[in-house]
Amino acid sequence: MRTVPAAGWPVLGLPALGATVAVGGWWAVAASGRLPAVLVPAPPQVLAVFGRLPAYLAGNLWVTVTETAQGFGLAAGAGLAVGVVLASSRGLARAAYPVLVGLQAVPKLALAPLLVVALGFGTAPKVVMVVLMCLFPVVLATTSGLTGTPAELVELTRSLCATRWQVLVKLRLPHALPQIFVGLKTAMPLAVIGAVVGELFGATAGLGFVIRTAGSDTPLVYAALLLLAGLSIGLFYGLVAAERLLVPWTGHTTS
Amino acid sequence: MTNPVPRRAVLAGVAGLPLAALAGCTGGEPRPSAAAGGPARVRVLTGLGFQGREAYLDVATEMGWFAELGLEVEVLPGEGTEQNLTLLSAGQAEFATLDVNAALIEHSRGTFTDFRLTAVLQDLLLSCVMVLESSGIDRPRDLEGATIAYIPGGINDVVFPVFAQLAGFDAGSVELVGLPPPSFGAALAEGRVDAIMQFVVGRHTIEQAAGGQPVRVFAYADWLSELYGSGIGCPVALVDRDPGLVRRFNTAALRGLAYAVANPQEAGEVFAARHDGQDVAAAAAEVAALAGYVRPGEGFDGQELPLGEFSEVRLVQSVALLEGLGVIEAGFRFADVVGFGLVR
Repeated sequence: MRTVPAAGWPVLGLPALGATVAVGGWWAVAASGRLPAVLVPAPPQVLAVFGRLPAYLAGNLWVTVTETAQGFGLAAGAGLAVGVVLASSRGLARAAYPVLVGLQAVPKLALAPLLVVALGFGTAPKVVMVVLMCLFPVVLATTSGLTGTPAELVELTRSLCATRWQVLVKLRLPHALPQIFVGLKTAMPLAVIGAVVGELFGATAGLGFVIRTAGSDTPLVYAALLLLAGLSIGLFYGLVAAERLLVPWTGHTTS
Repeated sequence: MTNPVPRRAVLAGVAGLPLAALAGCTGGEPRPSAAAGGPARVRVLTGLGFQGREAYLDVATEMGWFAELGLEVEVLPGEGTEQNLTLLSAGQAEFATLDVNAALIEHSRGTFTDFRLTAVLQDLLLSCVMVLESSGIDRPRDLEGATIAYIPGGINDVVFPVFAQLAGFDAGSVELVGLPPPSFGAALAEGRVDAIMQFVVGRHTIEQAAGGQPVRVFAYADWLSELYGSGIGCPVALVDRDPGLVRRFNTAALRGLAYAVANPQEAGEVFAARHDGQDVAAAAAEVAALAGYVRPGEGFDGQELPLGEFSEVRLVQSVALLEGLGVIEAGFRFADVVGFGLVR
């Protein structure tokens, strides 16, 4: 019988090892002198920024977190809704997919100045940018998950006099959840990117604003990038935890 | 085999989805307040982001000079002349920092005609070419055959052929390379390019980005004294509706500008205090570099004009030069875009 390895090392040790290798590589490049410090500052220089500007970085991180969470929540809700609608009608799906694919293909950077013109300098254009970045993977995953329910199970529930609502809620959605979470996990890093792209134009706060206004303070840029990476990792694993709570059977029924 | 989801269930499900999250967006922006007794709330766009060269707006705010004249001013990050004009048109700001020449060109093309230039900020063009002192490029003529980083379509690019002609070298002999501005300093330091098109106030920042190597500046203004630098613009409708408000804004802003240039260190400190993460020394250096560029103009009779007032003599010269470059149509009337008598 196959033994299950202890959870501690794979769960914590391997990610820590990966991060250590990445930081070590970065440090080695910085120390080699092949690239100027203005391009690749050493890790201690970047760490010093956290000591120099803790409140500034924390405040701007919070702004980005807020925009990301608002936009992601909106995209998840809208993506689920659109996905359910498209899954209900093949004709509608055929009509809508070219538009969705086209929207996804548009370089979002080009839209950022237009969003500022339309929505002003507040959080609205940043939240909309996050939604634009995240919507497509959620719609795609939801539609795919909902339409992938085995027909035999649908027939079985109908033979038991289940209503259509019951079929959706009790059969199709639970069956689609693993796929929906794949879409959400794909969308999460895009949400952070969307918030930062939005903050590069017409923003007065946020980590994108920090990067934009850092000038020649490259360590500050790297500090903001590190926070963004940490934010993405944290939110991604938050989703993984939510998935384990909501879809506990996935780990037991898949290879 | 797959089955479509029933439509009735879909409609019921959609109704409960959290679209109310939209309420979290704060799309509401300030508007000029007409409330009796209260200050008029106005928004002003900087030229590009938040940079030390525009510390005068923070100085005027910090000194209370806007408030003295009944104004509550919100300083917002601009994105260059074209985008700033778009934002003015869209009603996202009441005032904007504009490159005077670029604004004249846009008006001439008919792209934006619903604005007025109401005050001059820099009497001379800030454009320049920067090289490392160690590069061996000691005079503009040495730029022949050089690789120069630039922003395509920017004012530095538009005027470059005239600068080259007046400075005595062939503009066609250089290779222009489009790069994002934040990478200019590193590209120069790394020897990827021989020179960069810049603004004279950016010297300190470029030297920092170049690892402390000193740079040499070839200012366009040393050969081209006809062209203005930046100015303040606002919608035509605002000038028509409330010229008093425009005068009050310009009065306080220009007072801030004069004070900042006279006290660059203090201006840099005010700027850094109001914009977290900004470097006092860099901001102060940018303001100090404005010294020769912020000055009153001269009228037809040689009489000194108030600081910030446009000179018709200079505008005639500017338009003639821009016509010669082919970027402004012949017969362009600057009086259609410049508002006089709005600086105090």
